[in-house]
Amino acid sequence: MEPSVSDKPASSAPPLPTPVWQACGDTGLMLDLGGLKPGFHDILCAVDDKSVLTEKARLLAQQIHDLCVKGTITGITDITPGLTSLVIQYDPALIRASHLKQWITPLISADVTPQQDEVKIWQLPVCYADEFAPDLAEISERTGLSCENIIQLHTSTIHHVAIMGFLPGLGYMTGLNEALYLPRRANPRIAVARGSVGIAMDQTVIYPLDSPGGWNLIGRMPYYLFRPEADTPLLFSAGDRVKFTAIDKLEFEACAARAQAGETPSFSTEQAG
Amino acid sequence: MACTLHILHAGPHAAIQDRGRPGFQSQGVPEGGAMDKDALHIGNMLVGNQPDAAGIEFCIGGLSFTVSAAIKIALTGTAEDRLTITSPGGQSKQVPAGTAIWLNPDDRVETGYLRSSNCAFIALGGVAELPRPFGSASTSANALLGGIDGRLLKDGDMLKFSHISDSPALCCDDAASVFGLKHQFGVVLGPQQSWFEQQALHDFFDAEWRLTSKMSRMGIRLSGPVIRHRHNADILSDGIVTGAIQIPGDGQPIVMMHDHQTTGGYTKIAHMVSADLSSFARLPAGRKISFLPMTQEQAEEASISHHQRISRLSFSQII
Repeated sequence: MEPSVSDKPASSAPPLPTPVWQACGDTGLMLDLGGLKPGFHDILCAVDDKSVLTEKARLLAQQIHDLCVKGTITGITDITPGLTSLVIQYDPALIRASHLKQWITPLISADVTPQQDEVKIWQLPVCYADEFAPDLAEISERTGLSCENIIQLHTSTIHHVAIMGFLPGLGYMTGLNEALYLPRRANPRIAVARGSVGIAMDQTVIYPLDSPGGWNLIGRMPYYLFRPEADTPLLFSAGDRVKFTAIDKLEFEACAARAQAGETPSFSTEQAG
Repeated sequence: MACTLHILHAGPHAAIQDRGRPGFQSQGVPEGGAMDKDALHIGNMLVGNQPDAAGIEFCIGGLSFTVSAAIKIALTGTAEDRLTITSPGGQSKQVPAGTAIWLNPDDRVETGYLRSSNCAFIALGGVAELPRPFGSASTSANALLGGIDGRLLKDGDMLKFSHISDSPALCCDDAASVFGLKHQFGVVLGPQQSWFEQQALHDFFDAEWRLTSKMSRMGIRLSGPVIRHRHNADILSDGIVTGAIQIPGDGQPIVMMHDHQTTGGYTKIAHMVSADLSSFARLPAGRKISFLPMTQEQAEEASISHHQRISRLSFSQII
């Protein structure tokens, strides 16, 4: 008998949790790829596994969206990827949750290769001046890092738009340096200005509109992430990358004036993978 | 033909609404749309529009406007509510909810204050001439989307309607039965029911919940017993569906309404069934409600029969 030969390398990654379906009323279904394991919801743990699930949720959402466009599945009204989950909204007059589960379950275990062959890397200037960074001093105290150090850490990594959510144009960006991991503020602010750059947990966000908010504010970005009247209202898409560069107040004012006149920030593209 | 509404007083909360803009949550764009979809549908039927055409949803009341040309109008909401129509000559008449009427040029329309409900809808027989970002004229003021410049109506606004429908004004005798105020609302548990002890789930269903004055198009806060989490209220951000009942750290529920953020980081113990959402939106602050557990299948059936009931309402011409 021939010995069996496998040229596949042994998988060293630990198995991911088994996905779990949950009801969101009679118009929504959640596919929790984290399997509702409480440990997976410990925000500061298992960051690597989490990013695998974030990517899986995004790709699965894309795949289901494509099937809807082709008309293979009808009755789906919206698909919202979360950090480790996917919420599918549907019209119960057109399809029932039990049928949706049957349709989608085979897609979960299938390996999906990203269709996107290029990723955008946005170059975003951020002014970290005191007036735009009300929480920088407190972060410095809590982390033991100098303000210069914090800015250096924030500008030295490539951030990854994991999901879009909360408000139009807001991207939850992962890739924050671990030394900057902090919870959200205990007392959220009633008003946070458009363009404010906040950090919390393992993420960075930029507020696309004036809004209430609980993230730790460290700077401000002069360009628009959301222009309701524009042909392309949103700057970011999930999957984009972001690199921050520090600018001073004068440069900020100049950029803000150009943004007001319609300028959008520059980006480069890179092969995915 | 066209007709321009000149808003004299917008009141505390009046906004253009239609069915909303579902399908863009993955870009952070809220669904929006009329909170009372029954009122949207029936109102538009009364004036001869498509059932999801844009009109004015208002809370509390205090809205008044004049019209530049003849146009049909209908108020939909609880049976006690009515419009006061005053002609340029000073003659006034009252038009009850559920009945459409032709307005004459320069007539003035006043809503007064709503007697028992939180919100009502005004349908006008025509097409609102407004931009439709992401496919809808609905106002989501928190996202600067829809209506006039993404905001609520204000005093002095001019609102143009074109394609004025010339069909007869209709009335719906059964409308009143749709708009009665309920006190028990069906909910489906999940998705984060396992974040709570069994006792907390019992408390959730046993309690009488009061609608607080902290209500907006983003969410309505309830007050009652503290619903305790096993550990804490935080989850990794996931998608939110309208009607989700979020329990943040203070243990007091928030029912997520149509301008809710598209993703959130707090536990959702349950979702209100879609057939009951319009009815819930109608309740004023201070009202007390309770929750009735339903399975997802039961809630789907309830949704289908609710829509059948609305679509089978009979409309007749006013003689």
